[in-house]
Amino acid sequence: MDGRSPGRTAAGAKQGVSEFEIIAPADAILLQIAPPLLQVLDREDIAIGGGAALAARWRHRRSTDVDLTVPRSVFEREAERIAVLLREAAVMDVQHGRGWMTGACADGEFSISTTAPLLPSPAESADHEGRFRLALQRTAEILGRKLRLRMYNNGDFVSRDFYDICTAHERDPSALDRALSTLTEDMRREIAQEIGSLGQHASRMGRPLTGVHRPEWLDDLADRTGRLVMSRFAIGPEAAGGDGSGGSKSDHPT
Amino acid sequence: MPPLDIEAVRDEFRRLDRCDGAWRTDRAPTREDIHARWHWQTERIVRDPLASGIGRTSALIGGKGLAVPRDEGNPVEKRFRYPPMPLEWFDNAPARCVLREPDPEHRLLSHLSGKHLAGYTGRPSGAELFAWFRDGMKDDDERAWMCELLQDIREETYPQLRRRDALSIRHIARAALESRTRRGALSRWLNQFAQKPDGWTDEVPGELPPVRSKA
Repeated sequence: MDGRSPGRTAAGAKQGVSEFEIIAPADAILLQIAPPLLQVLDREDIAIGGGAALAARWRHRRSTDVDLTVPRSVFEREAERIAVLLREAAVMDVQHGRGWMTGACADGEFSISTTAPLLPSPAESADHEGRFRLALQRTAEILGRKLRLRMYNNGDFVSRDFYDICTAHERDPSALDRALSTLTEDMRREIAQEIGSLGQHASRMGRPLTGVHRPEWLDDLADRTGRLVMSRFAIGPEAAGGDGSGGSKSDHPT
Repeated sequence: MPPLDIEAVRDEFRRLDRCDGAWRTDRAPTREDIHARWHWQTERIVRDPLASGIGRTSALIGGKGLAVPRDEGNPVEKRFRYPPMPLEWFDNAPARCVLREPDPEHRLLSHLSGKHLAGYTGRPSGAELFAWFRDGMKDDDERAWMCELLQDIREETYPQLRRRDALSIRHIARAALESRTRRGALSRWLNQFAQKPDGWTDEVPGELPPVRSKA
């Protein structure tokens, strides 16, 4: 992690810990949902992931939602209670199922996922955000989920993920290497091909990117991202602590 | 997951009210469109929309009161049944791109037929399924097989269809359209590659004309 990030708070720097501000508009969502969540969950059980955590570290683009992760066992025990508390906190649309919850706040949306980490957790303590002192998911884990779960497993391609990968190459290349280690070489080749085939369409996939720090990347986002996915060193899924499948049933021939 | 634009959901719900639920053709359905349509359609069939937190009296659409948390199997965007965009929307380079040579044994398609069409007499082979994707289907029986398959396979398998055999997004979209498959998880996945074709005429039934100021 790059401790010189402009997102790091003065208080955090003073204490020698990595403390970051979630930036608007995601901070308003967090302000609405964190108090009810903390009535039910321990602080240690909640981690902020996704674009909000990356934008807190890098200030590289605008992120408009909040993705949280909670251990599955805790979530399954408390999901009903969490839903009721969020409703009382005026969250407008609360849906949940096995291992997930989403809700719409006035300033944007949040989601809770219970997917187990793809990468082993290091022993040292995680970065956290300043207001509620919730942990920020590690950059490598966030990128690994984008690559392995969203792009490879789900086949979902969105410009903000491409942009995050390109920014990781600039700001935290070792985290990108660890994230790529959640994929085998064949998987990397496949999604690199798919990304490359998008061409100029890549920067228009999903919601428009806003507040980007490198607008010049948008013209060749597909080629840039595809090259990074294919070329960077990866150590293979076994060394990364699992195959990332979460033990789910397979629909593929073995 | 991109954030939900609540005002856009409400606007679309009001539009559906004005045109009795007609589809708009100016864009691939957004998450907001799907949420609005789900509320609009479900409101008509549940016994007590108010108690269920569905439709115009819900917190999401009406903007008043508290949300009724719903325990769902899958997010609305994936379980709502709607078709992919018309085939012309997949006449673009990314959607037409075939990423690999055909698998001579069509192992994935053979496996899927065995797993998901097991028990049916005369179920199609992998090679037959491949031909239906590539060249289209000839009769209602073939379309019924294809629909059964596309409805039943796990959604994580959709991207594998073009990684394990020489199929493009357009081939898969055409198979879904021809077989009249309605599965949100599939349509949502396909529509990310849809692009409005040149010369397309937008139709947005129920849309109000823009308000003009008196200048």
